[in-house]
Amino acid sequence: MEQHRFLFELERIAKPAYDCVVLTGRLAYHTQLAAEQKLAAAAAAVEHPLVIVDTSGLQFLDSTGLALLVRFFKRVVSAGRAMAIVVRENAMIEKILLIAKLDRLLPIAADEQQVLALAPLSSPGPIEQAVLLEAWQQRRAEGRDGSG
Amino acid sequence: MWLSWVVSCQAGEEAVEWFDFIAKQAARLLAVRDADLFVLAVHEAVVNAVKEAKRAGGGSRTISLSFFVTADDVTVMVEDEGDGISLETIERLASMTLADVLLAESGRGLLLIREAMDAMAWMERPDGRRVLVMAMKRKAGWEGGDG
Repeated sequence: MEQHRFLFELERIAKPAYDCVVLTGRLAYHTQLAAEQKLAAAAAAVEHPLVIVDTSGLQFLDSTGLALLVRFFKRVVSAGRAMAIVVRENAMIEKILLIAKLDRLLPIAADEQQVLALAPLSSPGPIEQAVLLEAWQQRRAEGRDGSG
Repeated sequence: MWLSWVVSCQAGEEAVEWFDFIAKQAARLLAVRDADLFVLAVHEAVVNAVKEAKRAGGGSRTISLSFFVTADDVTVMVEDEGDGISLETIERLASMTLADVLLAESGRGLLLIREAMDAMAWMERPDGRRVLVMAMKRKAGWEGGDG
């Protein structure tokens, strides 16, 4: 088997208003050790009250990867921050996240703009995850996010 | 038409990647309803089998996937040489959904399979072991070819 098939990469980018954590490769059984270390380091390095995880570059996500995402989410939230996921055009990853019902924990949006447009983010300071999620769910219920 | 074949592999770490490859090819060739979910379900079943083999300390154990194909669906049976899943675990899973494990850091694999596939069941072998059987519909109008 070719080694590159097992790669997982993480890049943390500190944007002016939020931390962006970009995931690429396979977040799965084979990459769990490296992924766990990188996700733990990223969680510890977060600077802003909001973390947006960009999963659009993931090629595969399984139950092990979902568990790692949940562990990362719990670290972020326990530090008093809020988290959302963006999927862009990656329908496969969006499908798996929704089947796993992670949309009951955090916003799963098409892009950063949909997250940043939420009302709780218009004021500076800490953001409660429950407040962010409620705003997202309300927005979706109103059909204003454009994603159907 | 119908078709069946069996693929066996030593239950090491590479078995997961090997069966991922086979599942992708089968999903494409056989035009299952959702190729992504088919590959995910097979992957989860194989990971479970590999973990079971590791727990039993047997890298020399074998995992076998049997594919049964009809015009309507593709059925996959996953067998390993472990002790098989307990009745208690099966009963517990039957009453659970993925919403029950939202914040859990394990325990999603079999629930994902149940959500991904059109059918999932445990078949009891003559020796009392239970093996996982799962099926997915094929796309309507499939007439063969490479899709």
